[in-house]
Amino acid sequence: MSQATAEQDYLPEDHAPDPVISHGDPTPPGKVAIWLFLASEIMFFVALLGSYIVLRAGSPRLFSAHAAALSKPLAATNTVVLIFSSLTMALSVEAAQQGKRGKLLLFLTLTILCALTFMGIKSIEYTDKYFHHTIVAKDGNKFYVYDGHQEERNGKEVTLLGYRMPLGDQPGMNVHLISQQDVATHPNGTDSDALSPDEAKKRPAETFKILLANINTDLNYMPSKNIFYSCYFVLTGVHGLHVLAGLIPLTLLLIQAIRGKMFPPHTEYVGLYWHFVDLVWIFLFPLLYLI
Amino acid sequence: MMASAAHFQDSPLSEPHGVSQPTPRHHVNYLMIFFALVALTVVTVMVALHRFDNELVNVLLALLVASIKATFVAVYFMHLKFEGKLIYLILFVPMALTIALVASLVPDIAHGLHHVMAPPPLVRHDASPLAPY
Repeated sequence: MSQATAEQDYLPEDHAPDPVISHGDPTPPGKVAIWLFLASEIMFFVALLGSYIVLRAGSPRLFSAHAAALSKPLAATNTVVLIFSSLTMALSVEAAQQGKRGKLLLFLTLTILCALTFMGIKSIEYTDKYFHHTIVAKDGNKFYVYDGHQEERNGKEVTLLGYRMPLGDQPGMNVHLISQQDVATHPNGTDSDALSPDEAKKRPAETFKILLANINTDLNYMPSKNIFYSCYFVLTGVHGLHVLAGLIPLTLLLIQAIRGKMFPPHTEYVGLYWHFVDLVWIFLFPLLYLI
Repeated sequence: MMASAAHFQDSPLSEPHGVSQPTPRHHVNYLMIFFALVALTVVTVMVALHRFDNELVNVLLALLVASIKATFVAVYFMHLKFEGKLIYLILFVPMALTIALVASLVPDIAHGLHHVMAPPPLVRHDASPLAPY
């Protein structure tokens, strides 16, 4: 029995060489199982991405306008964090196969830390969206559309840091479609031309105190905002759940390694799952943030 | 146990199934692959910042760079380079279905794109501006 099959407790039966399996050690059942699982996971994400493709094709400008408001630096950092975690995961697998416990402990810990960092950055992004509001409210006699980040809310009023534009010259304006940049580029007076995006960036955000009693509509940047955010939260949320789920076997392997027990094949299979999670993010990053 | 492996070294076909040489640990320089992936991530962002006029070019270019990165992860980190036909067979199914799904969506997308060349208005001329949402 070869060393590889012996350590995996797999006894191949005596039979003619299988034409499908390559000559040499047969693929261990565990590896076949994890690849079958990954194949089904690919279809799961492809299903979601298929919806994204169709929905984006129906509202391309909406998607690129709101994608532009997402934080590219945070997402790019997350991409590098996950790629680095793939590196540390591959090195953990190598350490387990070499029987080097210290190296395994180091790289498993680093992988787990990277996963937690990824979720931390993700929660920063999500919290930012949660506190980002679009509000239609009255100020005096006029109605305005406000868009900005909520700094404070009490029983009487809400404090928003952002921009506002007068409502009225666009009958039937849709708060779901509007973005902060739309509000920021809107000219304050009806005579002037709309500000360019660069001019809008220079326009400083103001702090508005809006009385709750004056609010007509209050919407935050959650999945209910518009179809872009629905797609964004579902795709990144489901991916985030996969990252969290991956933390469980990683932690179990770490606990076992601390106790002195290494499981090279299991580490390899967890590694395959982890690389898959990285792969999905490699596609999500440009699709959601960059195009 | 290992001694019997040497006896069969000459002719691979004479190896009885199950009694084979220990699986060689294929060496992959993971660090180099990592640097390549980080470089490609930089390329991804740079390509995104330099927007072409044709939206389709933007999308395809982003997907191309992403696919190259994905290939690096799959082939080297996931050891696909050293796997047998069975794994490739398992992977072939979702890959084929992915291509089939995207290809079958193209008529829907292409048809719609003709009609959304003009940006959709933020304005709805039907409803009252203060209608609750």
